[in-house]
Amino acid sequence: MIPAFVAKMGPVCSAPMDHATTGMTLSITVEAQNIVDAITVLDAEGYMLEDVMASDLQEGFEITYHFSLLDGINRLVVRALVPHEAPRLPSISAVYPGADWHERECYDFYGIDFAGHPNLYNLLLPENFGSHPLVKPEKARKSLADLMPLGYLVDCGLAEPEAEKPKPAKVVKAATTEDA
Amino acid sequence: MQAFDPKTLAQDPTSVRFEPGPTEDKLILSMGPQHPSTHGVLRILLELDGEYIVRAEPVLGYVHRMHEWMGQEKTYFQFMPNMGRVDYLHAMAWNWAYAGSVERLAGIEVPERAEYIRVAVTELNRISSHLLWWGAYLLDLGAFTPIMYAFDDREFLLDILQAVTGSRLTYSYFTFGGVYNDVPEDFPKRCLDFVKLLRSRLPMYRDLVTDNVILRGRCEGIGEMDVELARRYGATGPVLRGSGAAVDTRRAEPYSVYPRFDFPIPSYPQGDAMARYMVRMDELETSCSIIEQAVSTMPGGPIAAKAPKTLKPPKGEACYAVEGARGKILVHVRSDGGPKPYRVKLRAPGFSNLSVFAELARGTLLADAVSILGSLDLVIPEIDR
Repeated sequence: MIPAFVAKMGPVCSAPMDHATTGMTLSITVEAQNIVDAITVLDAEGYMLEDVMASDLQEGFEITYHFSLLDGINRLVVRALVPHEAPRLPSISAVYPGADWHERECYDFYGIDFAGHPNLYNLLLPENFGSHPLVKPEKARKSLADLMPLGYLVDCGLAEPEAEKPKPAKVVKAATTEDA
Repeated sequence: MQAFDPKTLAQDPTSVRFEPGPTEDKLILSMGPQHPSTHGVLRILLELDGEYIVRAEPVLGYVHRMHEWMGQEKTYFQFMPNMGRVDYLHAMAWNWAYAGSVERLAGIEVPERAEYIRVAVTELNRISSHLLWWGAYLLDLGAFTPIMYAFDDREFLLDILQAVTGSRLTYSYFTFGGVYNDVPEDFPKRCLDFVKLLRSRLPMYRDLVTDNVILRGRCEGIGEMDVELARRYGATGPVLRGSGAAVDTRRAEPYSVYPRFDFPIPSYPQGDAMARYMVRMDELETSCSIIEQAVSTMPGGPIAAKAPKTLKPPKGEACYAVEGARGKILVHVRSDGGPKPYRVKLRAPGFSNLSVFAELARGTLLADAVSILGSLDLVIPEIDR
């Protein structure tokens, strides 16, 4: 089930996930420039920021914020996509001070610019390192369609439910969520 | 510790932004990376007013090894030994977090006996981690003897784990779908003997150390934090439980066979260094109890599921959270269907716990900052990854 507060976050799309197979219960994609508003909603709900992870995809850098309440099975991820050229999105460290170092780590490894960050310097790498080691070469990049299961792509409007007939179980599940 | 001349500091690239304050008697102090209480490889830039800390900024990266890059370059199996080297004191929990996330991704079922073995060795490892923390923390506070006692007990424990895994520190014992080797026949007996030994020692530790008025003076009311601060910084584990929230991943997000065991979750509401100390001392007993239950009810059967030699999980992503000795370990793996992970993200609990330090240390005495640092139980290789 998608909780009510998700609507307040202004999601581009939201996809329920199966905790038994993914360890997450919900994925919410938001526009990069709205990230602070979306995360303020989660702060009010009492969520704890676990981690900030960036990945290099064909579509751009995907920044994934892991959240969970202190207790219970309720991990949700908030995703935002920024382009490869001039990757930039607002910093959430004013809402969650713990994000400060996580964002500096993303800056280290991917060169993502977190606007409004109080202290955006290298954290783990030396300042004269000169490159961003986790940025993949153009050829090695995969698109979301290559990385995510069909159910997620359907929920996010990136694929048609009927596109892949050989996996009937997932298609049926995806179709019911769309109807609901 | 060496006081730095501001002019020399200005030439140091990491310190350019840390200029001395407006008054003359402000002092910039670079604590570490060689300071004993930073355990070798953490540097903290401190701005001092007399003996009081105005500002503290940890400088990381001295043992950064880029595990996440290695994760993308190695196959799923080849990356496993790295997990013993992320947090060398609680290697089993990292083994578990990575194995667990890949098992979720590939849909591998773990046989029951393997789950019990995993629980037993992880709890043994947690005790060894807590014992080492205990000795080292007291060493930081100026008590030299306890670390000798701690290492004495820890030796028996390492012998047991060596017989099981073949190594004494950087374990790489888990495999996808189970564990590498079955435990030796005398494993349950040795575990129970060890539990008995540790239980006979814990009252002595309490009398000699925990109830010691000097220790209490160094810990009580030092570095106070509440649940809200812990939440906003993402602090977990004994640091969170020392702030009054009885939250443990083994209960909150149950994994493996933990729901079958009966164990309390110690928590203390004071939120100071002493509360974090007490949580860890109580957890020694908690782990003993879990080990007892696990080895006495351990079923027979296979120790590992049949996983293919070259593992190619279907495309998708999975994360797995484990309660480590320092807090919630989270490993997130993304797969594109190939033999190597597309992305591996390691969430180190110490990383978030240390990020609270700047907040806790502000306004305290320099000597208390050492106490706060120790009470966070930092393992720098885990923070730097």
